[in-house]
Amino acid sequence: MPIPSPVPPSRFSADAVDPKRPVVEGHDGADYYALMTEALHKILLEKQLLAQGDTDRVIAALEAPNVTWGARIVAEAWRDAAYAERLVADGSKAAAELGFKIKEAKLVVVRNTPALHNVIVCTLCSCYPRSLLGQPPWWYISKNYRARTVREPRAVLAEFGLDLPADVEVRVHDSNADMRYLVLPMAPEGAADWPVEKLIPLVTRHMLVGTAVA
Amino acid sequence: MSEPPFRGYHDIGGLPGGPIQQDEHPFADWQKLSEAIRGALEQKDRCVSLDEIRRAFESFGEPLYETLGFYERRAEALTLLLDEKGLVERAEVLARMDALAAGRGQRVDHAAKTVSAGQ
Repeated sequence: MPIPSPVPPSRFSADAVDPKRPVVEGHDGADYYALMTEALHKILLEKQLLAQGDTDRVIAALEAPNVTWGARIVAEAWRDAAYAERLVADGSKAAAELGFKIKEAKLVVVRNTPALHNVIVCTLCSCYPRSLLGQPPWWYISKNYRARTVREPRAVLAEFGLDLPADVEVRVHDSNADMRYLVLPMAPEGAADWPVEKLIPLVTRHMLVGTAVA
Repeated sequence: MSEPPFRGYHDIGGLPGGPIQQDEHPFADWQKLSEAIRGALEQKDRCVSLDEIRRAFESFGEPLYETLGFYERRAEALTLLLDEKGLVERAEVLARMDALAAGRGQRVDHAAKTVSAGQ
């Protein structure tokens, strides 16, 4: 079978793309690509482009980060105002203080206030602080979330059960190859006096993306 | 405002869309392996980068981009990229897929990108 020749990207014009066209997400071809991945892996091993065990190590590194790592950072910020300031000033550096190395890009932390709510999206692809939180949820990488969040964030948040008062400003942050965002939710009442272990379970993945509040 | 702005098919921010499917699926083993192959190749010899993978699926054509899911797009892009770099021929990958499927009494339809039971 010949290699399909790459088609140049479509141009956004009235002729090329119907702007009312719904943005759909396909899931076709999972079995096909599972087989392709298996075949490719075998060939790469045979050609010694990869060694046995190389992918296992990467998989372990992919599976280690999880939401409690992000929650740990938030809990620290809730308890320590000076840490919160450092976190907002330089997310990567403040994360490193707690032993979390953000490998893929600069971490930018955006803080919610009574007057401002932050929400994160990656319209172009799926940028997400994977080395801190692990793989993004499926809805985050869905085309509908990517397409709509920058246009109608309040409607999107309402779908997640978050209805914000009209006087709260909603700010949408579009990730890119160089930046990963993390939302610092507002602390629950009295959180500053609670131990970290009690705070960590209160922080959900939705809160860290901005699709829920604490 | 003479010319409309260029816009790649992946640049969907602001386009209309339907309800967001909130159900979760497990991170399948093949999806982990596919991500790990890319990661391992990047770490070893820097022979593929995430930016190159992105460029590959941002230029392999809108029909494919629209049809495939997230990890399927990345797997397709990885194979295209390795072929482009002369490291693994795509034809060799497809032939190996056929051989693996045949050993399991299955058949691969490369045009439809499906795997099904044999005759």
